[in-house]
Amino acid sequence: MKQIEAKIVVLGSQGVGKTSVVTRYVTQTYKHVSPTIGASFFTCKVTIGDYRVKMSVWDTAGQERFRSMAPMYYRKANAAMLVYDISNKDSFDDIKMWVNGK
Amino acid sequence: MDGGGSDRSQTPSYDSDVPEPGAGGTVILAPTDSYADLTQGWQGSLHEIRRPRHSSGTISEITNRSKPELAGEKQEREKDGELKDKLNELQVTDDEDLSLTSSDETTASKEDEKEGGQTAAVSSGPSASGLTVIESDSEENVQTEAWRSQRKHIFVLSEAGKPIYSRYGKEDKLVTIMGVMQALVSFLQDGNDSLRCLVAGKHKFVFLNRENLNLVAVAKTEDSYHQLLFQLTYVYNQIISVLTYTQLNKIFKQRRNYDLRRLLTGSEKFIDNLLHLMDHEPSFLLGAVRCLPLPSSTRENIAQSIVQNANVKDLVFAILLANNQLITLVRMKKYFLHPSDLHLIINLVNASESFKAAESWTPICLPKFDASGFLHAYVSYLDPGCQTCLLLLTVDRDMFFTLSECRQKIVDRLNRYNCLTAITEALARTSYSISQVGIADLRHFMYKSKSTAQYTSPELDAPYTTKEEQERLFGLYLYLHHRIHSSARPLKILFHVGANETLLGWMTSGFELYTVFGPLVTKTQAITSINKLLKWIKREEDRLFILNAPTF
Repeated sequence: MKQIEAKIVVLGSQGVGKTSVVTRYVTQTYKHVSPTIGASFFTCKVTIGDYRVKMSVWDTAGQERFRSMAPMYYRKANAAMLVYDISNKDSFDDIKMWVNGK
Repeated sequence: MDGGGSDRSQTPSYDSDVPEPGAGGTVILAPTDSYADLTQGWQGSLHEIRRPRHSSGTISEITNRSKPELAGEKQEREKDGELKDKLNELQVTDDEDLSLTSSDETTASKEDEKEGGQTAAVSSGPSASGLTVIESDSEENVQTEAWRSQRKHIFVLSEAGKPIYSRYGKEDKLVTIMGVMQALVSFLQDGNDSLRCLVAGKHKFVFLNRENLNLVAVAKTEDSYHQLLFQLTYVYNQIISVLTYTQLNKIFKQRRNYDLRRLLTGSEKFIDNLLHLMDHEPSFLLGAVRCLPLPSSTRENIAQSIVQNANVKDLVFAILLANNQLITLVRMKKYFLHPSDLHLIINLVNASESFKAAESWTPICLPKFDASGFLHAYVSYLDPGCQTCLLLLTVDRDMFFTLSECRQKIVDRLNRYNCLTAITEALARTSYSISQVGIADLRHFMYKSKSTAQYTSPELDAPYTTKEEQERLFGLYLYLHHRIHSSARPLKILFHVGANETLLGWMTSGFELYTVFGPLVTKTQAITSINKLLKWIKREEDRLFILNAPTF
């Protein structure tokens, strides 16, 4: 089996559920999470076809004060997951900021 | 004052040639007097904080020491473009003057634009909700009896009078009250004077004016004026810890009426938690930390595990905490951690559940260490029960993975020597009870070694088992502390007979001792007792205090 390492960063406004999505995926459980401080680092291994994928996930804090820290996490990432809250249009509009870089 | 006089029973004495109990050969934390923070707040740190931007802070001192080639770094910065510039703004480096020319101007104007848009959106918010306060909004109504009857209110507002924080109630419903506060402050400032304190009935109104921020406490508690001012200073430092002084100053220089709540969103809980801790934990009042009682060999072993496995460049402090108590602290040679900075770290860990879920990486500013920039903290619990928390603080923002490896090695060694089990057991045993001290009629005490900024105190036993009684005890200590440290008439010894307890406080150049006896104790008995108590502490000092300060 071949090994792949994947670096993923999760971005989005505060309170949209970034940590919930990540913990659900990594630990297979739903639990109440509290606001992330800075960024949390998760690892997770999955097998897809012939590949064993080792994922390392940076779950970042959505609070505005941490925004300037974001490049530190997405600099060498293979993929970014942008998360918004479907019941909050502002959080969807904020996604543009991440895409356009301003 | 010499030991062993014939009048020993009438006035306590301590041989000043003998180091006080808990005084180690090496210093682990920066030594403090109580209120050291405060007096520095008036004279020292404000001045220190207002130093010109180009003078280097502690962080850049460390960064530059290990990165001599600044030119290389600058090149890299140009490549990485604006985002990295923004990052560098937060991590203040010495070459800031050079980069100020062009890039700063563009980011500044852009930020202005952005803010202009968002402030417009915000300002329509409060005015709309401002109307609802008066008419219908009852759940957050600040005029309620419940709100009025809170014992200690804390408010933070900007110099322009904008609400930033209120301990109780939504701060945006307090626009009017905060406006009045700001008017009072400004009125006196106009006459080149400053408003410090008002007393109205049972309430004290204490004001702390710092550059950009005004902080106000309104309390009907036992706290003295100085104690309240001291707490406001902590709140201010907590805000600095989140933003850095540099950023705070920059924001308000650009827009005096900036709504700081935007940047503090999510940080209110740190202020809430800090205020809660200050109302219950004597460590803040004493300017000291409590150590988890451990056999000195175990503690030594733990420190060695850290020294051996985290000896990496640019690591400034390694801190191991459990249940708000310090297990060990390893520091870079030459640099000390101030107790009030450690309190902010303890507060950060105490208030954040999220560290329990995964390894974390977060910027933190330690105002006493360097108010101008961030340190980067690697935070991780070491045991599955999430009781023992390791923090590694560095000046290098790209060190997460290195530190994560260090953590694993530290855990491996701690397990090999059963140290984590020892910590868990020490936590389960609780601290120690006053009966172990074996002094009749002594109900409780707090002992602080000044040179090491550490204190020890027994568990709260009967009669201090209910919340009301514990609060009353804390109030007694506040009173004793206030009387001894009174700026008008500082005391060395105070013997106070109250209705339910007799208090004896004693200050020397080496320690502060606060004791609570039963009401019927005589002065002679009490003095004999505290001499015994000091001997007991001396005997137990290996376990109760960190006597050796390991360094990298």
